[in-house]
Amino acid sequence: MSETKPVLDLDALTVRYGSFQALTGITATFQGGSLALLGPNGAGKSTMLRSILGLVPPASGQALLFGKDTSQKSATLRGRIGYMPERDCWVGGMSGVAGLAHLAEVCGFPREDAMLRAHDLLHFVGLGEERYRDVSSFSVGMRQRYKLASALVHDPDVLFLDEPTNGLDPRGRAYMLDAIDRIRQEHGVHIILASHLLPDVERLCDQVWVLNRGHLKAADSVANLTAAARGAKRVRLAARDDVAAFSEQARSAGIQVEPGKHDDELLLTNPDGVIESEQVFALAAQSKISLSGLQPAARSLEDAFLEALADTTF
Amino acid sequence: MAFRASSYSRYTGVKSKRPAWVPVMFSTWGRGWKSKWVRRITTMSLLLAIALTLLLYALNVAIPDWRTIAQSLGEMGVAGDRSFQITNATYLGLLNLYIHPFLLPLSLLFGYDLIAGDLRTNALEAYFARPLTPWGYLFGRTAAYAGFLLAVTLAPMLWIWLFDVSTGPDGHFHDVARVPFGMTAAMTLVALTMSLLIQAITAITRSGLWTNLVLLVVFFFSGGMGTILTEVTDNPEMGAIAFWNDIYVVSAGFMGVDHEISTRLPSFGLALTVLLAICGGSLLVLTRALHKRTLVG
Repeated sequence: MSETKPVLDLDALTVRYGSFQALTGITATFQGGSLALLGPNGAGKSTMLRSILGLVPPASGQALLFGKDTSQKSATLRGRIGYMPERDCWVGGMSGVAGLAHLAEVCGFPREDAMLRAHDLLHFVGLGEERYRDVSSFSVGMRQRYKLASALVHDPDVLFLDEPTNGLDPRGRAYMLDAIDRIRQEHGVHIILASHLLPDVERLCDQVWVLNRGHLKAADSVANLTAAARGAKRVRLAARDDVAAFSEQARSAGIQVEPGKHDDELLLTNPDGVIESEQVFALAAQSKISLSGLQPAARSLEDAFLEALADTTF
Repeated sequence: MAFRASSYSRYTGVKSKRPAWVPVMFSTWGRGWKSKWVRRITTMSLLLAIALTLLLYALNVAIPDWRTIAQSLGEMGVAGDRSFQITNATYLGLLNLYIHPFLLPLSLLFGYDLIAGDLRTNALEAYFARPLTPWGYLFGRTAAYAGFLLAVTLAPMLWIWLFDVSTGPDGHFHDVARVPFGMTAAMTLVALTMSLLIQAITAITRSGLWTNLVLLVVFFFSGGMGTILTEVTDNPEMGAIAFWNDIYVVSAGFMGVDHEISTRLPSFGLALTVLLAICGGSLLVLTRALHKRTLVG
């Protein structure tokens, strides 16, 4: 973990499937930590992961993982990557623990260590009691956990997670997110998460790349993306009829006013700085209007995501 | 490393530098050996070798001159007839005895679900996300598959040959010296052809049952067609359509007895070309199937 090179460095990465361009000139750097690849279906998230794995050759540009070109050293680099694909996958004809140990052996683990680690991992993901069962008899949630164990069994330095909470019930989802978070926080394993579930991203990731139709639309930290509207206020008026009068008063004070989620709610932002609560109270007093609520209006990741995709027609 | 760990831990041991296809090879043996019929046929194959060895031993003990007597009996009918002697042609018969009831059924039972099973469970996605290339995967599977077929057919035959040579009279070794090389070459080619062909069919059908059905149809249909076309056109080369003719002719060629077999069979060169073409075609199908799987996942 002491490497100074970025975990992932994409330089004008372009990937084509025949005539279809799945990724177009992506240039971005992920220094380490946890990164989310956000985007609607078909945005190119899975293609990006597969390209970094060296499974899909780039048409042009390059992807460097830990400073090494993934199209040149893909087999070696894959030993440092744990990949949890979206679809179910396991080695058939073996029990859960034997299949997992086999995958560890493929990555160079001695047989005994591979078996011990497979047992450990299945306990870690909560499948300890089921480890001798055939994976084909597992439920959807159990298979998701098994995939996480498969991705971790060879002790990767970076974990690629493609929709890891798909098909999980709320309890299973919380368990999965907690497990991933622990691996990231306690063991320094870098995470690259492809998802369209924003709460998962907010929970796990500190950086976000927003993709759409193969183009990189935004690349920033979650903090920056959600802090853009910090200092804004969400104000709720006592009477719905007062909305027009209060809006006029606020605009005359140089404040931007947008309608809120409710008829009696307004979103106040100041392009030049923070809106203080006292300023809002003063405006209300000047307009002789009573307020029933006032709270900071932080922008959610969903807002940032939709804004990044704003110029896109679906 | 703690057992029954409830928390995640990093691996502190030393990783092996062995190629990634080696575990694939071992797991292939494990999967094949799970089949009850694979175990039964393997046992039968080994029992046949033991039975033949015991027969030779019993003959050597009971009638020490049995080889001379057999030779004299043969020459009583036709002067110079060597059919009562153990020669390369005898071993060609033994080779066929091992190919038809053992190697061919074993190749079906061992490999009919290898790639189909991996395609069904998306195991290839798990494999290729690791330091295993599609070529490595194919090599591991094929080496295990062909290796197993050779181990349970060629090894017993070589054992019988060794016993025969070690108990035979002076000069017998010279008569059958070519046998081990011929048998090894013939069986290796047949095992390789069968393992690649079955894997290719299973990669297309993605079903063990359909693989078996397709292969049986191809096998019997090609046999019938070969015989019919040979008779209709009066051209023995047409017999090359029949897979088992090719196996027989190539085996005879490698054992150096191709001049002793029927003239109604295809030439050695054509039969060898057909088997190599089956290998090449199967390899092409497999690489395309695996490559497609890698891209589309």
